[in-house]
Amino acid sequence: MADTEMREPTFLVLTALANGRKHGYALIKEADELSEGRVKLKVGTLYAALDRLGQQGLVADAGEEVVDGRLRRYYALTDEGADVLEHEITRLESNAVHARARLRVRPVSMQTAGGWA
Amino acid sequence: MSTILERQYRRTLRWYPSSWRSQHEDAVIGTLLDVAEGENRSRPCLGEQLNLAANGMLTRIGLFLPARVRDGVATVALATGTAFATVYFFFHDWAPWAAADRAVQTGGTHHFGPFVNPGVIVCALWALGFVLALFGRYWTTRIVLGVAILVGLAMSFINQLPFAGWSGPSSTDLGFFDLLAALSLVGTPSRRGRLVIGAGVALAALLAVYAYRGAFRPRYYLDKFLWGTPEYSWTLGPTLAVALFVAVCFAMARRGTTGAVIAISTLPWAAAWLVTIVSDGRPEYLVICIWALLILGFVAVGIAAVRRSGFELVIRRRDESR
Repeated sequence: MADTEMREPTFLVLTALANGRKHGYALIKEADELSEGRVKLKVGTLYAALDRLGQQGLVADAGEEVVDGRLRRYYALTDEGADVLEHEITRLESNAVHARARLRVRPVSMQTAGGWA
Repeated sequence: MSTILERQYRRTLRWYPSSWRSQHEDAVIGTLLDVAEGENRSRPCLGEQLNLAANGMLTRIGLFLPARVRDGVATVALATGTAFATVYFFFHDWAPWAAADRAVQTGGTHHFGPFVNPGVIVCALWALGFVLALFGRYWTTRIVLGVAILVGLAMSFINQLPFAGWSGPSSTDLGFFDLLAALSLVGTPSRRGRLVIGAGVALAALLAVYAYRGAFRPRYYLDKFLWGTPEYSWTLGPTLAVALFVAVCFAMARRGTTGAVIAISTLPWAAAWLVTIVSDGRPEYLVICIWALLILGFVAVGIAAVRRSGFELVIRRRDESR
């Protein structure tokens, strides 16, 4: 996992599972909330991501229940999944720190429209 | 209402292989019904169905082609297609450095605005697909390349009509673009660094070939230039054989993923090579044997792939189905 770039839907699914097991619909809603409405996961995309994360050992099945005649399968973050998420958070934080530091020293001449003129 | 909706969803999930459905179908149906209820829908929406169909097909492909191989193949194909589109655009569609010669060579043909032919549309779609992939918009990239395939097929047909009259794009070039686009659809080019490097290497290789063949002169070359001369088409064959040998070496060195990516990535080149050789009008017995072997190989691999992907063909007598 570390040698591939983590895509935003994957990051959001892992983040949604960080505070406990969740079923498919709850993951879709959480991804929507966490991304402030930017990422609307489609069901096909979600289960493709869960399949892949399951094969990588980052997510595991965590039980099933039937609610109103509908099967709900729960998913949970594994220890390896938590490590990978932690690694990704550190990477994003580091990038954000560097970006903020560079913005702070941005020359005044560039802060106006057409700054190079 | 929910039962009708459930039935519609179950029908859509037939895009997935039966082994996947037996494991996940009920959980996915539950989620689909939850989403529909949350959005106050009583019918599946088109985007949802297309998404399920595309993911179902990818799951089927995934049964015989692991995700890492598919992603590698998609990266190589997208990089190669973008490089070829760049070269095609500059050398065969625009060629501003050879305007005078271009006017002479394409004098009796229609022009497509400032360009020689409508191949510029395909090139633009490839450029757009590449940029979208760099921004991580992989599904939009797939849609754009899907459109590029359709445009390529339509262009091949339109070019046969009497009113068209453009100089190109040739069906060999369009077929090459379409095969590359089809391979780009099988995976996700999620390693953007490799995509950029791959496109750079492919562009450098194509420019080297063009330079070797003397294309950097104030002359315009028709769009079959890359496949054009018999000498060149005969050197492409051994090059492909070397690529396949390298793929086998990787496989033997337990680098099966790399070997498979190299082997599959040669397919568009092999197809263009075969078409060029046959259109040369020299179907010698050796070429016919190679054709037969390749076709048998593709058919065997295709049947094995289709069987492993979970598709099955059921033939019933009419009286049995009643």
